[in-house]
Amino acid sequence: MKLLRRLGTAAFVLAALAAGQAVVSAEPNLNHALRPFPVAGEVGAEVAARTFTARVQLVRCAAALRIGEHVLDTQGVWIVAKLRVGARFKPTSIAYAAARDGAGKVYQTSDRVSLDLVSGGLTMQPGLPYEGEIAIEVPTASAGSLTLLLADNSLDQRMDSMAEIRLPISDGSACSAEPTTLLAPKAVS
Amino acid sequence: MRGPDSLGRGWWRRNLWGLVALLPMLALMLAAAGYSDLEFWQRGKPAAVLPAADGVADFAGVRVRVAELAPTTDLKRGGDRPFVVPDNMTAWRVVLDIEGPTDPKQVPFCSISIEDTAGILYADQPRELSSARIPFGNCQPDNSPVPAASGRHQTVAHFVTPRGVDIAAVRVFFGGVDQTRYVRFDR
Amino acid sequence: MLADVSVTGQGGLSRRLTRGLLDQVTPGLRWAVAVVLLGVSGLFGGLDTVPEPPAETVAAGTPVHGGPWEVTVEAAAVYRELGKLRLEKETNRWLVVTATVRITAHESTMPPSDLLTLTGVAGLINPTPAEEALDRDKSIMRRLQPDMPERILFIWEQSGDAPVPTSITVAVEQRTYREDSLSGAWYWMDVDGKGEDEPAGRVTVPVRTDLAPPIASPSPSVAASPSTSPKPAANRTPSAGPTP
Repeated sequence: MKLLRRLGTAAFVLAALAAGQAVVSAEPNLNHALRPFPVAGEVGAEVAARTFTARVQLVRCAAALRIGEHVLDTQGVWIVAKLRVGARFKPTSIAYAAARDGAGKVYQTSDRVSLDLVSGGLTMQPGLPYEGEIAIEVPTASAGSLTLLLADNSLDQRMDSMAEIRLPISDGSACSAEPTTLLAPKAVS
Repeated sequence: MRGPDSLGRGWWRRNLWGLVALLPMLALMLAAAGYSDLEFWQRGKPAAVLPAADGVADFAGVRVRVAELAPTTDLKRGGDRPFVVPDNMTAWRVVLDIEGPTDPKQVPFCSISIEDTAGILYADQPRELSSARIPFGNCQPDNSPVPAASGRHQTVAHFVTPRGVDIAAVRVFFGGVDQTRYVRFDR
Repeated sequence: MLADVSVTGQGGLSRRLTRGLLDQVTPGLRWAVAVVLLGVSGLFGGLDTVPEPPAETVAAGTPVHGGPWEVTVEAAAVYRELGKLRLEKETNRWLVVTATVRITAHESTMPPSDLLTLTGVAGLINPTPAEEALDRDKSIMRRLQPDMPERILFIWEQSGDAPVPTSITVAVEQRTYREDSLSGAWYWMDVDGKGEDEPAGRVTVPVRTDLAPPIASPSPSVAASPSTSPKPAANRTPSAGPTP
């Protein structure tokens, strides 16, 4: 009986330790605990992140980009999204844009092309939105499972809201083989 | 200790008040921890410094006054061609009178923004006016439209807001002198 | 049972527990305790395989895993001229290492300028490359995308007074994903925090001197600029890319 009681005590201690371990390991690490707050939306709907709004108006994909006389090819496909973005309550720029595939890989907008709209180069005043197109290079196999990510800070997106918009591309191998052009950012009037 | 004590009280009985106090103490602990975070966060926001009754703010070593805050349409491109403000927006002009050190190098840099009646902020040098010829509204004498004399000069800043928005205040921030406060001129 | 661990009891909880656990268990249970302890240490990584130190030197064409990237050094060659690139001194020469870089991290990554370092080469003007360009279109290498391997030209300038190497050794920098001791967040960082890590691996590659320059017309990064149609940007630095 006494032994049983001692074993019971030991079991309690082990249970307490296990509970502590479960609490400690509930979050994989600090990066996960500090992850951005997602604001999810669909194509065609306006998504309101903390400092900006964004709407994906159109999405297409192509094998190459035509920028002036240059043709930029890729081993994967170019995802081109037409966006309408605006500042909410203070002058704001969107300095981070990426696509995340179904496996969790994150492809940032290409810096082979300058994209003022989402590289921090365009500071928007509240209530005066802009439209334009951005391009992201992704592997062909990933094109069908992409979510567009937008945030206002280029270096650190943690602990702030991030717009997450599912991109309705069904098949990367069905993308246009013709080079496509990009619309430059333009004030919406 | 197991079983009843000398007064015949069981475990639950003996620890009754401790158990009752547990929940309020936990709540108190969480509130204290949260309060310190909240207080820290609020201290991080710049505080507004208001001008005296005559409209002049004495701050960062200069005396500042709003001489003009109004919509403007007479903007110019290069070569004196008129700049037409797009239909969906209003351009605003803010002129500050500044009185400060006679040595222009001692005049602190400032940044100016305007705040609408809903508390929304707009910044100087907006992209919408990038092809208009507008000065830097940075409080420096060399950008003054009137010649600087005995420490007095002006600084002019331009803004755009959506049409129909009304401006409630001008904020002047001397980041090189004070990061925690700004001067706020209510309209 | 709750009463058993009540702190109102005399004698100190931990002492009682220790004695209880050690003295009272039967020899058979001690084995069980040992197994449990081993299991617990396993939970914290005690049973993890310790990685072998990196292979010292491999041949060209063998991938080297450097943490967030995998680098396959393919070839090395020297050139007198390389398109519009300007040598600091006319008598100098270009030393070009061709390598395929695959990002194995989960997100887009810009490799550091010291991704590759050369050993056994006398007279390098600068230990880091003067240029790093995508072989695809000769644009400056910046951000590379995960799992989209790119062939990169790493270009150094070597003094004309130094001998042309017949073979060079390329060291591939490594990073490890670890907790930053200051912030507690996890990043790809130097293995030991002092920046004096062993490279992930070294690759020995013969140097060719008889090749035609690896080339195309310069293809600057291009801009979709406001209020005009997209056009080549002036923001490409440096403005010269390798050309025939």
